[in-house]
Amino acid sequence: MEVDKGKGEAEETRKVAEADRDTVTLKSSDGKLFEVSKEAAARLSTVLAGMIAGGSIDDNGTDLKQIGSEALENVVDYCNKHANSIPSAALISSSISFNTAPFKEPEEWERKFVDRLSHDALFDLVEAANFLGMERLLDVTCHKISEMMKGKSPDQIREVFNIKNDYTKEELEEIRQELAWAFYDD
Amino acid sequence: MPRKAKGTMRWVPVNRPGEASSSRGHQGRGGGGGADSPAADRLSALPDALLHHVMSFMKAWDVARTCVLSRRWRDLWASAPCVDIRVGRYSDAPEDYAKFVYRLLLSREALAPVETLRLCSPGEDDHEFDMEDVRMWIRHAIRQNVQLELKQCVVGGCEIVSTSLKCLTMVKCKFTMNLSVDAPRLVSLQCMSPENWVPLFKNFGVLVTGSVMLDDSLLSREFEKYQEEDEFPQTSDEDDDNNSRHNDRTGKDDHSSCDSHDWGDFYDYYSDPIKDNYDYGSDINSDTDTYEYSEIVKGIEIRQFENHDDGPDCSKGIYIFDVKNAAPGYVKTYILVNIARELP
Repeated sequence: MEVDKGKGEAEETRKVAEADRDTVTLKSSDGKLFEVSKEAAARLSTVLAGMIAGGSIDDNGTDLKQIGSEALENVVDYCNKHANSIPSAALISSSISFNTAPFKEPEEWERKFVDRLSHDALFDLVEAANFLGMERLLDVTCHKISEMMKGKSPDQIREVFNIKNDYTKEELEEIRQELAWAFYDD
Repeated sequence: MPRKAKGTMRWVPVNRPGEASSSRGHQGRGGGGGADSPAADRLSALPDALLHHVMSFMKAWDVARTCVLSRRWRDLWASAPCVDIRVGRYSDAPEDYAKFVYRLLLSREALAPVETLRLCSPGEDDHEFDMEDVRMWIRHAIRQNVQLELKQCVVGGCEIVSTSLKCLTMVKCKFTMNLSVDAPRLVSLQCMSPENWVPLFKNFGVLVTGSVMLDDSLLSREFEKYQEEDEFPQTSDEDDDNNSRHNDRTGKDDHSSCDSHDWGDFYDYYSDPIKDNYDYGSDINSDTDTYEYSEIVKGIEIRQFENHDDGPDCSKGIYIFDVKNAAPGYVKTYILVNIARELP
């Protein structure tokens, strides 16, 4: 399927959307329009698939009030890249469907895709993927977050994510004793 | 807030002070690095289900330690549906690994099911834990589960015995020896493209849906003369009756065409139970049977994971068991995955 790579430019996408019904137009919370291949949207997002099937797609831009323009741009970008990448054999569903298939490592382009995101953009994208029911994108983004936590001390994790330690000293001591087995090398 | 996470997640709404939606739609700061001290704690603001999802990509020891981050994190680890205790080559696994795993499993929230358990079988020079430990962990983790799904795994065991198992799916599994499946509650069976051996099935009193599909991967090496590939339709869940009849027949065909081969033993094993026990037509009304959940909450025991020499490509002796469930609290799935092949 021909995938239009246009993104971001609201006027342009509107024109294209009118000419080509193979795409759906999505509207971010701040009113920007984005276009994405209908096939990719339906395949990658259970929510969009439901909306397409249910006919609740608005040709003038389906309102996604939960998602800001930056996150939506990333969503659309992901869909387009995904549609253009050659799906690896494991992603092509066989005659047997595995809705519980184990997580497949991110592919190279997916890694690059999330690596270039800023901290906030990453979390915006996690929330957008969650909202849109984009399982694979949610996997890839959550995997990225997990990599940011791996091998770090609690202090380092707090620093990376700006987590405020709201325990009292006594509480912390209590937890450490209670779960001493988890802090074997402290 | 979004209403729904991916299918396998429980949605647990959270009301944390504020940040969850405050930064939606704003322009991110700069492009590059990401980790340079952002103002808001975006991570803790995520709902439990998403934090659990993040945890599913982490080792159990890293997950458990998140409890000290802040109060938000105190008990999250204890209900994480995925427990990954695989010991990698470069992992910082606990020194007293077996003890750690026991404590971890016992310290979890009692009502939070382990939906996914990832673990490696012990290597030969592993003195920290043995197969008895592994069996205990699997038993503990899956005691509430009724569905077993094995996909592209090396099944080095000789027996799956379960009084609770209701659904068994095995796709492209490599059986290193004769596996016998004894599951009297089994309602649904799929065995697609087994390699090396076809499991022996017994005690199928209530089977409703069954399909066994053999393909070239099993047959081509040893049975070049076997020319009936076309006879194997793409099976699907819907045409159970066709599948079963079909499989019945192919079972017999196999038997008659390969008596003279080394695999004769295998077919001696294979043919009789298939003929005797695969005849579930008489029990077709069993789909009207209902089971109390408590009845099927028993356990699955997978015995003898040890490596055996009679199967090819098993020299690495690492099996990854990936135990996973489909819909929380209702039907659960086990996936046993072998990643030995994926390691460089």
